[in-house]
Amino acid sequence: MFKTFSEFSKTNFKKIGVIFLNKTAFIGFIIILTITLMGILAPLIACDPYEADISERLQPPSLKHLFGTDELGRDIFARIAHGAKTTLLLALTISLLSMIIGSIIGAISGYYGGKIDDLLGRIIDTFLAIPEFVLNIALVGVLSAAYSDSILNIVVAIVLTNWVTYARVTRGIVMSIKEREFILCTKALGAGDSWILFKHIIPNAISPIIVLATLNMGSVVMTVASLGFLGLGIQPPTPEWGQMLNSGKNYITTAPWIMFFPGFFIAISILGFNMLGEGLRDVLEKRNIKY
Amino acid sequence: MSLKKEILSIEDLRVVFKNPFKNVAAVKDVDLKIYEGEKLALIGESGSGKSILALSVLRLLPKNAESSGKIIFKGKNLLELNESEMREIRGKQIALIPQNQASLNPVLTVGFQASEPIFHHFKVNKKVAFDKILKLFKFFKIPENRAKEYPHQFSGGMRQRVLVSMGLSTNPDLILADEPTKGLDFTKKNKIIEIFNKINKTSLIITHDLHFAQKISDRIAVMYRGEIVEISSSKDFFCSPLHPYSRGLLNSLPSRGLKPIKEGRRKYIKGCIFRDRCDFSYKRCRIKPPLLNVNSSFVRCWLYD
Amino acid sequence: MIEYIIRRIIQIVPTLFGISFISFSLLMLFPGDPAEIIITTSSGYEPAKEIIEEYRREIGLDEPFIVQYINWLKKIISGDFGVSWTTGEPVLDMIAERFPASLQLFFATFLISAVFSLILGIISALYKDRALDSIIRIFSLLGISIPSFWLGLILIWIFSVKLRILPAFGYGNIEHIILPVLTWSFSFMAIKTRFVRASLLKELSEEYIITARAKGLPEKVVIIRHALRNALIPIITYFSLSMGHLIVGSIMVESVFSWPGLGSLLVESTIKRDFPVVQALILFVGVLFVITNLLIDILYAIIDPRIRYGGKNV
Repeated sequence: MFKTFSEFSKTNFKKIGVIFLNKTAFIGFIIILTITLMGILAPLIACDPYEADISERLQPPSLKHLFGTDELGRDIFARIAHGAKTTLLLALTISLLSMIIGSIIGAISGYYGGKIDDLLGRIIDTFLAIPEFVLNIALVGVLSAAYSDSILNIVVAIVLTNWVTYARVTRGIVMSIKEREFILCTKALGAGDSWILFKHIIPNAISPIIVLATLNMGSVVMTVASLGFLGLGIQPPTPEWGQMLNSGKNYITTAPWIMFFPGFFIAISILGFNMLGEGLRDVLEKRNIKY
Repeated sequence: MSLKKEILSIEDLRVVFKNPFKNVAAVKDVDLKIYEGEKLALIGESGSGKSILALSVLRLLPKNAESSGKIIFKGKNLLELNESEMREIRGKQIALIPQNQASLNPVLTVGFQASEPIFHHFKVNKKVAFDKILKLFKFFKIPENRAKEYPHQFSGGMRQRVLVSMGLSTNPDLILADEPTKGLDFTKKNKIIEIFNKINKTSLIITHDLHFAQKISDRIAVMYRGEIVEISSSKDFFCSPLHPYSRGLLNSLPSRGLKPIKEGRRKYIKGCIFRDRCDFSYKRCRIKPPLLNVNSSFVRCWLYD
Repeated sequence: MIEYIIRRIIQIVPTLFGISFISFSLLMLFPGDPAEIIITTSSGYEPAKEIIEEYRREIGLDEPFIVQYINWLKKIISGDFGVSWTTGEPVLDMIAERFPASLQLFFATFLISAVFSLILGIISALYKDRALDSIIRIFSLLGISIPSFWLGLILIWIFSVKLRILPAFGYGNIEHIILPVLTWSFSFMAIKTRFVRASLLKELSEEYIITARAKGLPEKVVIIRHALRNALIPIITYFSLSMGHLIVGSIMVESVFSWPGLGSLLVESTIKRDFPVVQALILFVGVLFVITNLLIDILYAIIDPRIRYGGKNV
């Protein structure tokens, strides 16, 4: 544990450099970087993802269409590259929103305790009892009956369940830091709440939350793709990997590439986030073996 | 020192823990001999590396620890043996009596755990081994009917006695006892002293309890920040300690005035490791002193050169 | 003992309320008028405004939120989960009809993945940081990263399209269950293998392991006799907890293979906006989870007295 922010930043920035020494984190980082670049550069490296050419439909991968074409004759590579932007932006937005909401609620509840904390405890228990994905499906269903903006619906539906993870973790961290001797000391010396928050709690909570957020990005990508696959996600024609996979499954006998490539990119980006998250955890949270 | 046969001879031992950010030497330049039949107490404050020394003899340190030097036991260098040769030594020829806090498996009965070395090393069946351990339990006053209970049902003192029986069960040539009095109150400590005086075995006893060390040991070795700073006979040590650290330790005892040792910088320093806390340090202390022979004792201090 | 059980039962009451509240308020978010939908589906024609108004009063839709919630709760407790908006069938019957298929899929997957993850987890811990461990770890990492719906489609492509040895969908015969179980087991096993490995490694860092090694025991005995016995407590808890959630089946696997379980019922009902079914399913999963959890705790208290006295954290 770190006592001050400067001590924290000294140690941690040294450690963050170690991403490049940790093999798992490095591979994960490269994967994410590649997919991000693919999303950013999509307009430059790929053709129009919406352009349908019926004469070119269901073409297998070739030099002209790197990943082949789909049932409407659209270029799959272009749709995947543009889909990368959709997926990553969604994952980033959802994770950030959940992180902000969840960490604030968790920190307040863990710091002040009492009735607020009891209530949050009950809420966390309840959310633990119902699988997140079941709730996501139900929420998307209800929201899409009311609002037609499928992107907004998905963000709201996932954030509504996802914040709980952050709240749970932050609450735990804050509660354990609060009881530490140096905090009790600074309190006894008359330090205010905001002093303790900025000097002690944030520096200590930041690395577990970075790890959590990275892993969480992976699971959000999975949720978004799953909803897309079920037909409940981002609505066509906007390219999204899960939804592409969904339409591809009907052509599995004649054009298996339609379902192969989107699925491969879903898998590889989740893998990337998982590797980066786990590698970071190894680097940031490793405790020295003590004897 | 009379000519006695040495059982264990540690030469120039150095244990380094390899970490991603820096390597830490937990044990440095240790030379130590244990003679047959004697009880050697290794004393030092916590973190001085004394437990690591014991575990390095058994080669039970975690994988990131690297030991160099020699540990000669019955003519063989333990650091050069392979795993299966080492397993023949562990528990059979050199037994560890671990610290009693969490050293027993919580889900196995104490009788089974204590008899495990017997049936493992002597290839007898579990029942025979269990009967044998019951005899040892009786010797150490552990009621026979409690052998089938679990560690959490035992008190700290009782658990220590179980650990002692376990260590002695295979009649080893050498015993390494790690803090046998840790966490015990005064009366229980006296019982453990009684027990250790009953054991007639060559032993290396690691402790930070000077009173305990005085009661049971023939010789004393003092460890400070990974180095041995003094080796003396128990009598000499408590009458006339040589190293300034040893003197400080004794002066800090309640019976001798509770005088604390001066605080130091506690950072890695070159030369004598005790230099920053020593009242007698002078220019020469910037060079590391060797282990000097003074009468029948050894001390790592320039004052005796 | 009885006191402990009663205490645990009292503890779950707020959670049960929470689950019912979430499940109920979901329908409140729904923008349409339930009264109109119910009459339309049951009679087949667009009803007049007055009829809807009357029906709204009859089923209590004009009452305030809390009153509606309490009325709803009373009905649920008496076993009335309402009727489907699309078919008019009682929701409970629909769930009962789909439950066996989910159970079959779950237990087949659970058995296979439990056995294999134990074996793989132990091997992984035994050979920590060596080639075999790395292979198993890569395999588990893939298992948690590859989406089951994609894996399912790949398996269909290999076994049904190319090799033509297994059916791609259907329900009833043994060959129908093979591909879904295989698909689901892959991710299920991955998570569990990691857990087994992690719990074993945690136990291996405990002090009693040094004692065991100091006795000269070979590493295999140290792991199996000493570490595994302790690790088994959290492992069994973890395995049984997964039952509570997954007994309803895997939504994604069921929908890839058109498996007629609760998972695909949830998706179908959501798409058709048949919210009473969705609502009942949420309630069903939540309550099932809480009850499984409770049963596990009670079982442990019976088996292991240390837990009752708070001696060991599980």
